[in-house]
Amino acid sequence: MVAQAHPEPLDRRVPLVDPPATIQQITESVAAPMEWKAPLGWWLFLAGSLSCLGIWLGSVGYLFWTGTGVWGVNNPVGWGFDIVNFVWWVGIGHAGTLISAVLFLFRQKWRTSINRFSEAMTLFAVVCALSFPTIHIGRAWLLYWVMPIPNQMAVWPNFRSPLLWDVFAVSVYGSVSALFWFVGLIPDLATMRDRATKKWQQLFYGVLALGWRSSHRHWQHYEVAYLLLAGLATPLVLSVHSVVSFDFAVSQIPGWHTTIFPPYFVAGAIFSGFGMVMTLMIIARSIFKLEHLVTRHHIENMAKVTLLTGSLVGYAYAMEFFVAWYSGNPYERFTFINRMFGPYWWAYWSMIFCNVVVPQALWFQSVRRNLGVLFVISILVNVGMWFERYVIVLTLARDTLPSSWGSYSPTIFDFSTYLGTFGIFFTFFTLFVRFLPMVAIAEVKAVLPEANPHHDDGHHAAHGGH
Amino acid sequence: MTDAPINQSRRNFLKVVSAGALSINTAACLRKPAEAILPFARRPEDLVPGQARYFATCWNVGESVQGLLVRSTDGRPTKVEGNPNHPMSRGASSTWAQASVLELYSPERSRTPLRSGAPATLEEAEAMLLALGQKAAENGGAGLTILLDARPSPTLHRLLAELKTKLPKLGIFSHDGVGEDQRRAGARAVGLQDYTLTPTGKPRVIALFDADPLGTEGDVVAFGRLYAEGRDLTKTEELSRIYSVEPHLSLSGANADHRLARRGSQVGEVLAAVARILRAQGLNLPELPENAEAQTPFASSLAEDLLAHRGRTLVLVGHRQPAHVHSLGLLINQALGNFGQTLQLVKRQEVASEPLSLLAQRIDEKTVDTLVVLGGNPAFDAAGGLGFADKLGQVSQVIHLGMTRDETGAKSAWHVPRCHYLEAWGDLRSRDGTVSVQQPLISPLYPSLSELEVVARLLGRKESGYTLVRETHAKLAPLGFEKSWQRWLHDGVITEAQPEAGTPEVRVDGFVWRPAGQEAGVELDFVLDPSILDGRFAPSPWLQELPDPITKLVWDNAALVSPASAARWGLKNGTVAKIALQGKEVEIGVWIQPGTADDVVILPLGYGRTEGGKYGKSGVAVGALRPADRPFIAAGATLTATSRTYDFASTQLETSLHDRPHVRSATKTDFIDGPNFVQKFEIFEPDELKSLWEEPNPKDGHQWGMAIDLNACTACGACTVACQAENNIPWVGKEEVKVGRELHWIRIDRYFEETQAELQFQTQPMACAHCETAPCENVCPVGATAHSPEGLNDMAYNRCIGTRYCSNNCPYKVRRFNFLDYANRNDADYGMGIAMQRNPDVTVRFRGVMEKCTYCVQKISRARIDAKVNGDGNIKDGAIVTACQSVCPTQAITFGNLNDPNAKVVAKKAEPRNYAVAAELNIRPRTTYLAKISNPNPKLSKG
Repeated sequence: MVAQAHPEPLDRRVPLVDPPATIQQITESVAAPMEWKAPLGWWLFLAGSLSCLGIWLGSVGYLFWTGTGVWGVNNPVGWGFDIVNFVWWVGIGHAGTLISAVLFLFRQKWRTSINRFSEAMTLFAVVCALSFPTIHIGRAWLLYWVMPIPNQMAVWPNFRSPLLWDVFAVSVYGSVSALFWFVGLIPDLATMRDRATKKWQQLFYGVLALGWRSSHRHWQHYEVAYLLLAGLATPLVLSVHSVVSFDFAVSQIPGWHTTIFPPYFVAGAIFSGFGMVMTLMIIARSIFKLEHLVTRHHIENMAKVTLLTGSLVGYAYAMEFFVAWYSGNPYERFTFINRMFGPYWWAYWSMIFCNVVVPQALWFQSVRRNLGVLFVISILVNVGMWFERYVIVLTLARDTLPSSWGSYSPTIFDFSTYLGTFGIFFTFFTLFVRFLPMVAIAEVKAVLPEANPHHDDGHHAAHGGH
Repeated sequence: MTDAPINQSRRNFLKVVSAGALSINTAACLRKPAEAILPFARRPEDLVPGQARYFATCWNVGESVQGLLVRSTDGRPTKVEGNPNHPMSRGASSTWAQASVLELYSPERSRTPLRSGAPATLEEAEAMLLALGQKAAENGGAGLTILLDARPSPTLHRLLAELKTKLPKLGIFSHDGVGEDQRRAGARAVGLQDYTLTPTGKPRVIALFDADPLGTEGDVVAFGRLYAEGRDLTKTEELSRIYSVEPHLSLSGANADHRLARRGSQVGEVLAAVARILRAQGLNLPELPENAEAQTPFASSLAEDLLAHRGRTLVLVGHRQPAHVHSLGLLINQALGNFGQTLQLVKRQEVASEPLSLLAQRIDEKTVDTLVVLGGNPAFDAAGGLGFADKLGQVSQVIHLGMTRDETGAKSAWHVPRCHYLEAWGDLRSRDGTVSVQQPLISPLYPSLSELEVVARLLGRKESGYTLVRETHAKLAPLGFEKSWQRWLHDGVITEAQPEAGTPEVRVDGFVWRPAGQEAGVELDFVLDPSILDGRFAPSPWLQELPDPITKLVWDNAALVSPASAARWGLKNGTVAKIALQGKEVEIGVWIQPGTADDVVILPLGYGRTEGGKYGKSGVAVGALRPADRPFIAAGATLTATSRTYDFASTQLETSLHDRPHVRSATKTDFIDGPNFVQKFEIFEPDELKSLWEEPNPKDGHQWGMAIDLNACTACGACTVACQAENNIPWVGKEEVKVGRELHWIRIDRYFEETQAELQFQTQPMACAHCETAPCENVCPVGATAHSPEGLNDMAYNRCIGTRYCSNNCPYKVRRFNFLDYANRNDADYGMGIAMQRNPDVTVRFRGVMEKCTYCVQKISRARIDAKVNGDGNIKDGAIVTACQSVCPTQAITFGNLNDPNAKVVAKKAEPRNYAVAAELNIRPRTTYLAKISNPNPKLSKG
């Protein structure tokens, strides 16, 4: 139904939203999922997500009851699915803040249609990610010891440990992202409050809207707060995954101890984050009839970011090899050859295929505009990024002393815990799409031509501004 | 002591001994005889709660005796050490001795006598034995038969001699799972049947023909020391050279300078070839037929070396070889003048006995009415072809004395629990003639008898073992016996008991050589297992989980085949093969082992027990395949690969060192040319290594360090078990080992390199190296592992939350994680026994906690306290002996204060062979290694 995007005659920009988006219509279409009677499909999806959440609870309960040994971790592979999944989820949780904060600062207005959605995804992914370090330790009930809590024993955490930096980095990222997300939600929550017809809706949105009346002063404060938070969140986009990469880079295991890890991890995180946003968005925009707000143009922009970051990741893979050779360190060389041709060669080549080869298809506009192909590519990106972490963690299987070389095979509980985090993620997501506006209503309105009147663009109002 | 009260019970006696104890070490130790459990508020005199005390005792495996010092912690024996006064131990001990303390507390021990399977009292059992003796006296003992194992106890043999005098028709047979029958037959053929032979001195050339004196055969601890002394590098010109011919890669073969893989049946041919060359050089040896082996450079080089070092050579033939090979080996030793030089001959002092095969014959002839099994487990460990287990059923009354109701016990009318050696008085005479008293440390945990008491009951005597043992040795100290006795108990050795050397007459006339035929089919070579031997140690979870030094398999035996044979037979690691011989069939998983001779299947014995506890049931029993006449080497078998596979658990899967310089070695010549050869392997010069952190200051106070001499280490694995016993390390079971979760704090790495014609075996014990800039320490988020001022890398178990980051960051991968609640699982599995064994000075670790070698920090603390109490606080060199160091038969491990210029460890580290593993990481490990120096024959080394 959205046939063509006509470039704006003067600045040759593609309109950011398609017809029939108008101020009224945007509110209606975004609010619709919250005001519908929940369809059967939603209930089914929620039931499926809750089942997965139940699997997570069962798996973690059994893990706590029995011990870390229910997983496949061993000596020498002390970390397995736990850390693979942790890094994977944290990586996914990168797109949201990048879209909302970095693109905001760069005045990339196309972000407005997808930022809410991707920020929500970020938060839920960070929750999933945080679950892993919490449960993966041998004595989870003592997790609070990693917090610098003053105590009568005067024992502090070890500030030299990258794991501790991780705790700070991820929790700061999580809180700032949540705050940023919530601040952005306030005007829309007020909209929902004003439209609410049921008592609980009035209460729910009313409380969350914090008394928003859309006054000028409110808007002024809002814009400043939003800008400040965007400024705060931007360095976090870079820092979180840099710090996560320190878990590996600060150690002295061949294949982990490399300075390229921070930028390479950040690129990979954005890559996987956009992959996940695309996966979810391609489905959501169709189900919730938001194609005119999240246009093919948006999807194509995301595909371009994916292509860029995928290529960065590919460059990092190549550079790792070069450095391994150039360093003259025989252990480092062995590790990289072992990644390619060792027992986990399949993981390595899956990673290369998904992360380096597949995204190259995005050079073609026809691919970027083909939603089916894009969906498959976005899934493969996520698979590939999972394998990247798998390859990195499994470096442990063969390190300095050949005598201690081992192998790793995940158990059913590794898989069920991983599946269970999808339960967490999708339970949140299902609730999110039903109870919160998944597109930033106020912001999208701001990119309509009506919001941005010019005298020079005549009567093309219906085709939007920039 | 004949004037002791006659009806003295063992328990009462122990009370007397403890009251009369003189020295700190001698006091007889025991749980107090009063039944009430009293707090230490009313503690016995001289007993400080928590302060361990040591008592001398002794123990045997077959004919091999070790003198031991056993630690008693608040009345519980908790750890075994070697007795420095005993020539067969010299302070060290074997893996088996280390595990023997666990056996004491085994939940699988019999707790009551069984009459036809139903519980009976010990009094009833004793009454039965007394009645049996009385009844036998009526007809001179006809129909009464005693089956012994190889336990060389003077008192036992004295009592048996008395019994034989009293009952002339008594039949006495002996059988031991380690199978010395062929060695004895070979000795008999040349007139040496009355002598035991012990390697001694400093042989320059050692030729091993299917012999494994470092691993499974004979006095392994004493031979280990002999081996290490022969490799002493302070006198490189005196370095020994070891040749080995064997079908499977044994520990001894692995440590040899030259090794020839030959099927068991062909080993004798190599010996014959050597003998031919020696005879041609004028040695007094019988004429032997020519064979192909004479053409090999191995045989000629060996013969040349033997001739060049007459009187300082040693030719050892393994117990698995047929009698005539033993005879030839003895003749060669005689001709080379080794008797009295490198082989000590000591006259046996034992009652005459006959082999098990003859007993089987007697049973068939129906002349055995009552069989008293005093030791051993013939129903399991005798050759299956003998059918002895079935034959036991034909005896009207079998009386079995054993710690567990094993396969033999299950076939017996009476099963009488046997005391553990730490519960009973006894005595033992080692091969070199040293006699020691077996002193108990605890009164029997269950109603049980010692073998001495059983024989005494048959004699109609009701005394305890204590009286019987004292009786035997009373004549050695006619004046002041009591004082001598106390000294013997304290020292652990009866110095007055001098061995009778004798002058053997070696006869050549009885010698007949049987050339090895070339039988069709696959040859089966049955070998003793380095961990569980003939199966007697199979019930020990420690030994089941001790990795085989060569294959690194745990909890299992495998059919070992060479890579070439495996390729030809279509076998892979884990393929289940069906092996059949003479109508018997066994299915067992295959393991491909480099170094194995071609066309032969090696079958380790001892596994697949059916009785005597659940741990022993692991693995596959292969005894059924053993023909009665060829119990160890049997040709003519067939092997068929099945489509099934078996999952083995191995602690080290990678066999190649990948040209990494972790294990460094050189030949003697290269070492003399360039003593600093270890340095050429370093990636960085020492001054290129800069630390990111503040440099540690290792110059103050005590700074602990360890040196491990790879030139001495034989890879036997005794340190692994000793560490387990000392440090409360749980076993984890096969399934956990399979996924890589074994908990041993010290492991023995081994690598094979097949680059040259011969297989190169390299080994390296690996435990926490206590790096000065330890990579594990900075990554722990809660600071649970930190550095002590004395340079220890300490683990605060209570602080550990279990992120496992430290383990990931350890380049040696020596940290061990409690993935599950292993300690509590052991408790649930083994009952309270394991708790009684545990060392109260060492924390038992909870699940979710990382652990690792602590350098025996509890011993360091003890020494520090002692030094502060008794001196100026300076811990003297040698005051701390770590568990691994103390047990090591070759003294490969040295530990001490690096700031003490006179410490042995400082001298060791000053040697040019000293190097650190992965030094390029700048982690500065406190444990360093000394490179191995081999001594190959220049004529053979160019392969």
